[in-house]
Amino acid sequence: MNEKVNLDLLSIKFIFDKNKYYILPVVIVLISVFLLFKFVIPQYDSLIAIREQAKTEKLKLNTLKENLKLLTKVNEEDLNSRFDILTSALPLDKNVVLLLNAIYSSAQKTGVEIGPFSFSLEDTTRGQDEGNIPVIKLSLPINSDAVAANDFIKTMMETVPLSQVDSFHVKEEGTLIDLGFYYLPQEVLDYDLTLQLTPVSKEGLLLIDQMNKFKEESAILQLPTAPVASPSAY
Amino acid sequence: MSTDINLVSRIDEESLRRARRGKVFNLIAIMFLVIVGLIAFIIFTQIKAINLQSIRDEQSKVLEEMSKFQAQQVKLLLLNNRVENIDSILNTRKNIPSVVDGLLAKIPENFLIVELNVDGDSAIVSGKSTSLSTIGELIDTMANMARKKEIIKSLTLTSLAFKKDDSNYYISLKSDL
Repeated sequence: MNEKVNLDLLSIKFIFDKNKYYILPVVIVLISVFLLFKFVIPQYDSLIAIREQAKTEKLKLNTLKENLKLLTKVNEEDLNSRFDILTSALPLDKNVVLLLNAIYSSAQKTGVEIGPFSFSLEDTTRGQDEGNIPVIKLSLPINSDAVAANDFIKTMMETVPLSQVDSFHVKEEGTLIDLGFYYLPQEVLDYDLTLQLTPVSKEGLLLIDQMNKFKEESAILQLPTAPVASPSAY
Repeated sequence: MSTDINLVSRIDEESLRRARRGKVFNLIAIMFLVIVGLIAFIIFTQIKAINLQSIRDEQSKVLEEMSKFQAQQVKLLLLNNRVENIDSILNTRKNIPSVVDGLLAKIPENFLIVELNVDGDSAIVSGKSTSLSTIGELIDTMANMARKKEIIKSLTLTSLAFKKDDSNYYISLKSDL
């Protein structure tokens, strides 16, 4: 149904006269609401964002200050010696001298005779269970019985660089041990200046002591002059 | 009785009431506008009070001081990283010597090991003896170990044979670790 409303001038004037007192306040309120949404609320949002940013920057600054405080307290000699111990246990590169020393010092201690063996420095598979730390794999023939060979691998496990015995195979003609020597290159480490530095924990210090004992136990020996080991690739 | 007629119209009460209400609305509207303005001013001063630049300047100063200790910082980070990795290696590497020790301790005296193969998952013991009771003793001992889950979790007899040439019984046992 199409109903038409007829508004004449007098009616409009009457309505205007009746409501003219409300026009100004309504206009002011509308302007205020417009200002609120257009300027005040976005301004508030940016205040929150700036506060958040300031909080983050302050945290970063505090971290940096704490790091500086820690670094000024660090004893450089201790740090270097601990670093040496740990890099002997887990070398930064494929250190053939350390590896051969570990094998021959363990052999000397346990009185086993190592047969000829070879290994490749190219083939460094990563252990799945050990946080993907690369290892240099090799198979070591030992001319001795199971008990002596087992003593040898026990000693190997307490020698630096750290190694893992993957398999132990005793036959009438001798024993074959599959070994993996761990190493971890430096580039694996994520380096960020704003990282929170922490001093070495108590457990860490105990571990360093343990590694130091391993290192002392496997002190560098005179390697055999005969060409027993023949690494296939360097 | 008064006979005067008042020709001046009386003030419209309704108009007066509307005018009064209009004034109140005006006041409320202005207060609203003032409040909005005040909030905007407070937020503006708060934003100006936060000085991000000074924090960044201080950061740069600390970083500059830290650059003198860069070598120590790298070493300390590496040290902690290595401690973490060595700890992980020590906790996860297979302890094959203790398995071999445990198995060798249970081998009967008259039993000669022909082959012993231990890796992270299984152990195979093969050997020979002239006495069948020694073979039985070995099976019993290892079966007990598997039942008690001592070193080995299961036991499978893969072969058992007698060879006339050397009058020996040959046995091969496989266990899951």
